[in-house]
Amino acid sequence: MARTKILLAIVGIVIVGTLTIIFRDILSDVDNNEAEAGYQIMAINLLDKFIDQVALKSFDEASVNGRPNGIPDSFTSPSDLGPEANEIYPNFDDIDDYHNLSLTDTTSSGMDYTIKVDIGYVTFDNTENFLGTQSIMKRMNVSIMSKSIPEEMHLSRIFSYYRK
Amino acid sequence: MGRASLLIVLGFIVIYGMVRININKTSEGASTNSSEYAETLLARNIANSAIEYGISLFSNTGSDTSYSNSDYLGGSFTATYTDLGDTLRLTVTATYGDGSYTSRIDILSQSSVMPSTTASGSFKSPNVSYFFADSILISGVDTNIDGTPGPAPDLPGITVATSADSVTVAAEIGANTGWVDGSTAIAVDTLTPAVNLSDLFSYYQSIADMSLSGGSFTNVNWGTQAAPLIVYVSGDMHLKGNSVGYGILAINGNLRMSESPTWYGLIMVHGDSVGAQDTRIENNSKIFGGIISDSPDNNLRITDFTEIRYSSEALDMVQTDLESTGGFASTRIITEKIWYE
Repeated sequence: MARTKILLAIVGIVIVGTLTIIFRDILSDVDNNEAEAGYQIMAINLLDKFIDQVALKSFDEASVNGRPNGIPDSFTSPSDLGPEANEIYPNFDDIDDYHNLSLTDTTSSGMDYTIKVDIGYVTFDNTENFLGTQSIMKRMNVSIMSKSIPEEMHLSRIFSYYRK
Repeated sequence: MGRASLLIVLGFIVIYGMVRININKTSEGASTNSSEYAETLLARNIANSAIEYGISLFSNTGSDTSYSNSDYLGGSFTATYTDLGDTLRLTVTATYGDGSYTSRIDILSQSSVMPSTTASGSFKSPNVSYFFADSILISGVDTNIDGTPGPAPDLPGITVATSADSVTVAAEIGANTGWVDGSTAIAVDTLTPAVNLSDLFSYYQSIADMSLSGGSFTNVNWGTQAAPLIVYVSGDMHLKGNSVGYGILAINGNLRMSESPTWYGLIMVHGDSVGAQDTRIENNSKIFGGIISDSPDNNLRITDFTEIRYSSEALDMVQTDLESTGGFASTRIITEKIWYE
């Protein structure tokens, strides 16, 4: 009888011990998930801020100093999108200067990340595929990679030309 | 002892279970928040992309018709314009997944066809030579086509490019202070026009209702109040007699008006500084609207009961008609944007 009680007590201790270990693992997973979610929010915020920064630039090199002569023909040809000679980030003056930019940095909280940019001409009816010619709309795809987030994140914005 | 142990263990199992359920909920909540936040930002970028498209549409065509797209950057949006008088409000609501976002912008714009009017007589080039005589009137006081007072705020009578020019004009007016009036008689206008005048000349040439090669035109009737015209003249022009015109008269050469002609709307002169005065208006000539001269070496002579009166009604008449013609005539220059998010 006494032996049975002792056995039950041992089994109880084993079960409680096992549960405690499982519980610790769960807490660890939760911490990781919450940290991951926090980093994801931080990552997409970085993309959003980056886009807002680009939105301040001129639509095209041809429109930096006023109205271009021919619209959209005088805009940068699709094959020449990217910074002009002597233009180095962050001293860009138009949107497509950011084409093919790869930017690596670290946040104040220590998250290392890389932002990559891809820009091309699109139309209102087809925003998915880049055109082979100029138009008055440029789509910018930005993506961010970091060890702190499980997968690459993306954000896009379309800029349109207008006279101002 | 055994039963008590069993109860304690079972109690722990229940407590662990409850705590785990709560932890799972918290963990899922964090992921959900992250996902919802990302979808809201995606929707925001769709909305702001659509806002840019709407500004572009309005600027390039003058259209303020609602628009939408059900497949735009992986989401969708609807956009509506609201006319607030001087301001146009554009509101876009975008959705992406479960995220939704509304952006709004107030747009101030001006016609890209009509240059902004800064005075009844606007003389853009420096070092202008002026000659005024014999009871003329250059008035920035808004006057309707029928001669009654207009509703718009008064403008200066004359604007010039430099302070030195304003001194020259003042000296030419001398004691005849009634010859030039308005919010002020003379003002210096150093602002760069939002619309390049050379561009406008090229544009007027391309869409003119009448293209003339210069010469004398006597007792002509061009356009009506209901249907003003764009008249482009390449060469020196002499408009005389009881001629009456409505619309925009763009002269790529020298202008002379004499013997009682009247023009309702805008006259633009780009003189060539060859021969007589670039701009010579005399003998009871009348202009209701405004005159802009950007001749490179302006030589201006206004005499003999000439009247040049600012008229918002005459300028609005031209603008309204040109806007109804569509195409480039409807394009707008965005002068200010007030963005709300």
